[in-house]
Amino acid sequence: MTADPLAAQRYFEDVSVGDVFEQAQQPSHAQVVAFVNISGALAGDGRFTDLEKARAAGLEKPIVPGPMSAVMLTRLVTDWMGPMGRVLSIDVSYRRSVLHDDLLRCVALVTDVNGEGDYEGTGEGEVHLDVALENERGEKPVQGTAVVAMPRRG
Amino acid sequence: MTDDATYLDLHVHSSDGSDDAGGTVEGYLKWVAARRAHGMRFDGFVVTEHRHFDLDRDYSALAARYDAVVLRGVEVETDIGHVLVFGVTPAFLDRFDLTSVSLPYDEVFRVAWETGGVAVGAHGGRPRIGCVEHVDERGVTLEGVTVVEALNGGSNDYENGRAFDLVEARGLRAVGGSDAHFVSALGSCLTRFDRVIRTTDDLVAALRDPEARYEPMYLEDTKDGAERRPRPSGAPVALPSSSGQGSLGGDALEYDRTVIGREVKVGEFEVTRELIASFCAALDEQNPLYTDEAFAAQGPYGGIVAPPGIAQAVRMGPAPNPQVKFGNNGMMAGQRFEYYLPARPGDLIEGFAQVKAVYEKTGRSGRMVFVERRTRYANQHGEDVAAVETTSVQRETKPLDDGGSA
Repeated sequence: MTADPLAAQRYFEDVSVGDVFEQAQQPSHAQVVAFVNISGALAGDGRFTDLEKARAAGLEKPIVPGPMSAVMLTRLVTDWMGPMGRVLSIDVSYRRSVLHDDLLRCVALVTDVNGEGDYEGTGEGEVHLDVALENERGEKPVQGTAVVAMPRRG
Repeated sequence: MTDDATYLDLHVHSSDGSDDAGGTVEGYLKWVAARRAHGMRFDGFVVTEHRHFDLDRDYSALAARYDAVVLRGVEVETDIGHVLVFGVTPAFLDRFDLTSVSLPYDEVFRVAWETGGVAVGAHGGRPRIGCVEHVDERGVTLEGVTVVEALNGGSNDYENGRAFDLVEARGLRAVGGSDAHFVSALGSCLTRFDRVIRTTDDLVAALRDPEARYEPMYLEDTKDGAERRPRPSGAPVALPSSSGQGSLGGDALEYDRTVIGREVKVGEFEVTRELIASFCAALDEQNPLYTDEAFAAQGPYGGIVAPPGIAQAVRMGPAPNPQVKFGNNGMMAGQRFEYYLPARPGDLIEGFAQVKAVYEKTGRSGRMVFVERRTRYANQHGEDVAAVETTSVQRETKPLDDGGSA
């Protein structure tokens, strides 16, 4: 890791509507198992880890839990904005299933920058993004929005 | 812009009236301006919220500020899938309970026409909620249907291709709409009219006129000199899916209404370095704010903090249950995460949950019942650090046969 905490920082002044940021993710069976076993919160639900139980529930394959898709998109946003940025909210809609080993494009796209650029008097600028997971079948199984507060160069 | 053509996205949802949409009308207008700046032709859009039409709402002043057209219609749910209605009048609204998820389609098309409007079959190729499947499987005659949304931004190519096949086979007219729920999807598919359209009356007149010239398009193809993409094929492709199982509508919804709005404690957990490390490992998360003590000490929080979303991986007790009498299969439909304060190692976080609402609608898997819950997370100082709203959906599904096609 870099020694300079701000080397990866992105600033409000550098952001414009239409900016796109992408990451690839391919949630593997092992990663899904690790996620559901962190606390066991989802471990009892075989649809996430077990082919037979998934098929009994009408699914072709085990699926990636919604919260895991949400945190992939959250991570996309935190990586994009850098350590001084703050996630204010993330809103996601689970529209289709994400299957194990799906190769996903995680896409964030800036849709609005608050012209006043002073989030609650902190001097930060407020930025709105659309976020989505896109699979290789041309579908966007998870779509949503994020609102973040970003520092100014000052 | 020397010709009279008008490019309108006929199918858009906004956060003003659709619970599953994240885009605001003003956000959409800014996107129209941004797309125009990239050389695309884009005059405006029609807001078609799900199952709800507010006669008093008017976006014309807002639209004028962006030199754009914003009209309003509604997307209702019928026994052949979803239907867009343009030119909605009080007379139309008097005839139907728009919250019903299985209105009789032939009545909807007929009454829309008789009250001076026009109905359009939405996302024709979508399983269950588009008309193609109902024609194929049940021989529905499409009484009164003249226009179908064949190019829909929320459908995949195969689904759109099937809708085009139906339009051609039945001599129907095709339109395009994005079905946008979020800003960046707006206009992805739209309709090009060979005339000026500025009002709902203009739009309805065009869609009712058999001689009117209009066609679905991709927004990208509206650029000067762009090559038009061919319409998608309806030839079968192997797509893993779990669609097209359930029926639409049914008995009245039964559930326990007394739990709505009552907040109860559902559990607590301590934020530990081990919890943060295992969460980061499962996600291959390498952000040094969460993983690198030395780095984090120099960062904005003066030490390691938990990644936003860590509460997503932690077990809480069962949330209040409205005991919905429907469905054998529960899934998450959506989540909203609000973050107020960082959570640090040593913090003791308590969760408090409540049921906010219960309602139903129809989707590609048939009838669905939604339960909205909100969980608030507070630290040991009594400060809220985060809140999560989770919408779960109950559906009726059937097991897949062994050896079923993937």
